[in-house]
Amino acid sequence: MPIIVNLDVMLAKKKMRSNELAERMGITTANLSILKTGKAKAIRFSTLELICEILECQPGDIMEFVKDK
Amino acid sequence: MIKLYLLKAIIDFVWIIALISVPFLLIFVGYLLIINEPFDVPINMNGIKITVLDLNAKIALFFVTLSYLLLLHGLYLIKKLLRLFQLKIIFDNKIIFYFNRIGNLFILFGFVSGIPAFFYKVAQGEIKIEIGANPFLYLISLGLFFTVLAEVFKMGKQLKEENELTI
Repeated sequence: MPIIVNLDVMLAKKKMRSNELAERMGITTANLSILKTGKAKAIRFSTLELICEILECQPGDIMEFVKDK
Repeated sequence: MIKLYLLKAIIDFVWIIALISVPFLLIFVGYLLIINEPFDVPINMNGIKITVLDLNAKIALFFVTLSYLLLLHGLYLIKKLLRLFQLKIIFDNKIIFYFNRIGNLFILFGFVSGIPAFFYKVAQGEIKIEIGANPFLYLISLGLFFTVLAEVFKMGKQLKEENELTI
């Protein structure tokens, strides 16, 4: 998929663990893992809002568009 | 879900009755196909009355029996399908497969039972135009309806997967 999720990069920058983020967001670690590994087909605005709020970043910091070759 | 249990009970009942009748039917039809003597008792199958047991009648009888076995297989698959519904397995590959198979079986049943019966009537000189509800068309439509259901469930499965992968 041309949309790359850079959630682990942001997590490393903020020195936060996945478990903690999942806990603060109120979602399961399994669901967060789906998002991190790029298996997710869609993301809700509410989820994106929560991630941005907790990690203090912009949606563009988490996601990136890379053209398929 | 009470309707599902009711339907399952009816299908199970019909299945058991049909299963009991199969050995007798096979023995009887087998006997009719083998004997060369005239059989005095008239046989009624799919709306055709067989009074003389000639080669045409035997062929028609063979295909009607075959179609009955196909119908039984379809009934067995419906039974399995309802069991999966009872287990709350709905948008699954098995369900799609069963719907497709049942649809194809009904279409095949329509052809296998309808065409020999038609040719038998033609061979007997009973050519007439019938306008109205035709069981052959009903069966083909029912078969196609099941295959369409398979497609609908396939789409449903995709939507379910998409929903599950929306975070």
